[in-house]
Amino acid sequence: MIVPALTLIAILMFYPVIQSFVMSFTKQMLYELEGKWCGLENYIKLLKDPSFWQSFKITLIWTFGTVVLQTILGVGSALLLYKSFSGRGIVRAFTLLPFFTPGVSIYLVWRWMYNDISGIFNHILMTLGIIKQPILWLATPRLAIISVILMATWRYFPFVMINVLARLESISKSLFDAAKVDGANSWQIFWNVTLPQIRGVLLIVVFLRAIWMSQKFEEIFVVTGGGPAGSTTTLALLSYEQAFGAMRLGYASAVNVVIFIILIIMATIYITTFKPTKQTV
Amino acid sequence: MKNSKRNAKYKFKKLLSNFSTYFFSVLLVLFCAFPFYWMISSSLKNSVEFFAVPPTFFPKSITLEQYVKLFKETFFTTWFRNTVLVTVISTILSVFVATLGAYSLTRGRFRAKEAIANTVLLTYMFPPILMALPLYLLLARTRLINSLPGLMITYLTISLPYSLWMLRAFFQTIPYELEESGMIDGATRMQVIRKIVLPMALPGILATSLFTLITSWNEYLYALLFISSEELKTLSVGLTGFLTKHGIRWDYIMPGSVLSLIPIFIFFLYIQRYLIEGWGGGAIKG
Repeated sequence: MIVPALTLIAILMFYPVIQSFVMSFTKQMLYELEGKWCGLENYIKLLKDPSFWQSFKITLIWTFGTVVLQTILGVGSALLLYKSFSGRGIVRAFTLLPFFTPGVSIYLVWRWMYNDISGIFNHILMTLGIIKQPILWLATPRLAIISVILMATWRYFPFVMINVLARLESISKSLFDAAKVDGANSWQIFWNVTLPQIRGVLLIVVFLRAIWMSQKFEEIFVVTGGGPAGSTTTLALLSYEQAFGAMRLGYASAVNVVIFIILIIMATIYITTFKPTKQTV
Repeated sequence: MKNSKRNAKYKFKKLLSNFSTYFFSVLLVLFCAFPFYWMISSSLKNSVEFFAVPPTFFPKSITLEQYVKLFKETFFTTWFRNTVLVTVISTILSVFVATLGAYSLTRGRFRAKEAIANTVLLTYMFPPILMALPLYLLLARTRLINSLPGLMITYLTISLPYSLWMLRAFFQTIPYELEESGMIDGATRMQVIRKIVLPMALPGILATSLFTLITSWNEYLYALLFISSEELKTLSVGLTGFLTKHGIRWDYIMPGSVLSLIPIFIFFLYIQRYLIEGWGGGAIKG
């Protein structure tokens, strides 16, 4: 009964990936149906291309920045919402909303909020007297990457929260009570009781986040389009630009192979370390 | 005397901790909800107030003017219909195939079971950007490019591994003993599946369908690449189509975004209990 599923996966997923490998050794334009064999030429060009290394660096910054911020915010809000208080259900529902919202719609709203003239962020900051001049959030290279990182943190921290919360709820309360009786303060309890308990799930979550964040596309594409001056062009956007902008399919496929290799390395570590098929998380 | 002093100190501490819990909760809700507030309030302003500098925090007059314009001047209803069609059909297809597959992955006795489960997990992590280019060529060769059926097929690359992985986790929570006792009583495998497994699995299948539906509804890259006709676009691509070289039609985008969220919010109300009770990370992707 697994056969129909495997057949579809083979045709729609494995075949395309294998084709990507093959195409990365050819020269082919988007409007051509067949490519010409060119050996390692695409890879040699890729390794010499400064924009590839730039994208590589931006992908690292983007992944690192979003994962770290999501984790901090996610763990923090899980600790907050773990305590029972009236109204907790509503707060939980609200914190889950960003994650389940249609991405593109809400990214467009963020782009509108970042707007330098009619945007609400600049208006709030200027009213509070924090800034005097409107900030060009998306038109300044260093700020643009920070802006999209903040937006992605907003959208994806619920993933961390939900998983940490599920783990926290399975810890027996007596563990915390015992620590309190022994006179530990909140920080000591967090460091010596809570953290060791959630360490396992946190590692898994950070890994999954890193795998998924490194490949994100529309988060950046819709808000900055990779600019200004390529300052937010991650490898995913580079692949898109090369394939559908410059129409160089072979070169884009070489970028895809790099993305795939990164994925395989991270996924292999993930699968062999955490054995996710053996558990339900 | 001493006791009451300690009591007062304890009470004060408790009050402080309660206060900080509520303080941070309010902060968290504001942080999460603000973009939604801003989207809705922008969409309800009139076209003059919409572009006011500085922007007004609360709309001075509430009007549906922009919604009316969106329906009259753009393909919005068509895009909405296309999105419903593509996501619903591809979800039904993939949940059907995935239910069969997940059942055999949890109950079947074959040697490659573990390897197949790992393969499914790996495909579950495949990013669309990796498959977009070859799928584009595949669709171009089969003349399915720029068609809704073509788009539905490519959505399976996202929804199938996802629902397989989720349903597998779900089937694992159903005790096998029930099925065994059914078979001892002389029922065939098919009868056991129909009479025992499916009724128990139904809530899980329904929840999986909704999660899958949301993932497909949110899809952007494939719809952007594989569809070129205006009347075949999906919502997400239609909305980003308002980012033109000559300027951005924010007055179309805001009401459009609000409307594109509504179906998802309705599903969300139903599935959010599964999220906390639940399947943890296996249940969500993104």
